[in-house]
Amino acid sequence: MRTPTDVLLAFERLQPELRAVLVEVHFRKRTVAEAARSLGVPTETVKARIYHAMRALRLALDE
Amino acid sequence: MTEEEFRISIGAYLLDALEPAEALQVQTHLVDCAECRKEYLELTEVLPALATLPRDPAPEELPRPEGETPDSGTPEGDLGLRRALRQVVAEQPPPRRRRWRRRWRPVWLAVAAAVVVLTAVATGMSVLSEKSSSLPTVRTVTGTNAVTGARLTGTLRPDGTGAGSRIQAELTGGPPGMHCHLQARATSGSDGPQRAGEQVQITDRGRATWANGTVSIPVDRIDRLEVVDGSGHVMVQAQP
Repeated sequence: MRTPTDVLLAFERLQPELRAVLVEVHFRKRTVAEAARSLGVPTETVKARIYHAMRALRLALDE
Repeated sequence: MTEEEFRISIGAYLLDALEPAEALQVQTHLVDCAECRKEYLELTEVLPALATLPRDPAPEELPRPEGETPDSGTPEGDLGLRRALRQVVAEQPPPRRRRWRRRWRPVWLAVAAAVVVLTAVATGMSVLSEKSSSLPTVRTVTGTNAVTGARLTGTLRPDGTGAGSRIQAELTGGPPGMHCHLQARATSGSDGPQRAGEQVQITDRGRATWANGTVSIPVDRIDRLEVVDGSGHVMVQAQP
């Protein structure tokens, strides 16, 4: 399995706005609506950033 | 929602960040849309990796750096998180990237192949046949605890040998914070239950998932899946 080091490195290499949504949703356990309020962006933007963050992580961890 | 909106929502769905009504919409869509199911399966692979990172202490408990704006998303804005993550990393042995790749890539690919749709919201879907004839039959099990409302859905797929099964399951409506694990029981009744998934903690929104459970019971001999709490009590079971 990927070590936390691998995951952390991949996480840190995400674009800042993608990392920010994962911080809100995964680590702070916020919903899309809550994250949107916290980040000051539309909910659809949050969803899109989550999607692209997860795709980026998958690609990075599959390298 | 449009097709594109559904696809974009899959990540948030997997992270349990959608409102219940919206999550149900996505679940229902996944039953019908092969493209989105493919996307779902691919993104599911990220979950075990994210699970290796700490969720507690919550970074929100750590103060934001002065001057940070809520939407900064800057590395500085993640200082608290990074501090917590680095602490975990410091406790790990040095990375052996090439080694884990050799060791885990086959497992990872097997998991990807085994992961199937968790969207058996439609009752009566006891057996699903994959549209692709090259894929083995998948059995879907569902069940609800009438008292607590906890609901368990699972998919069972033959492993590479045919002697065992790969299992993916999802609990919803469970008690937040409680630890539980997944187990499977065979139809014969002579064998005890087999643990099919690691112990997990139910999320604040009452959800728990097992993406890569395995048991040495063939798919056609699995009678039911059960979610068991730390005291050994069956919280909910799911049958075809």
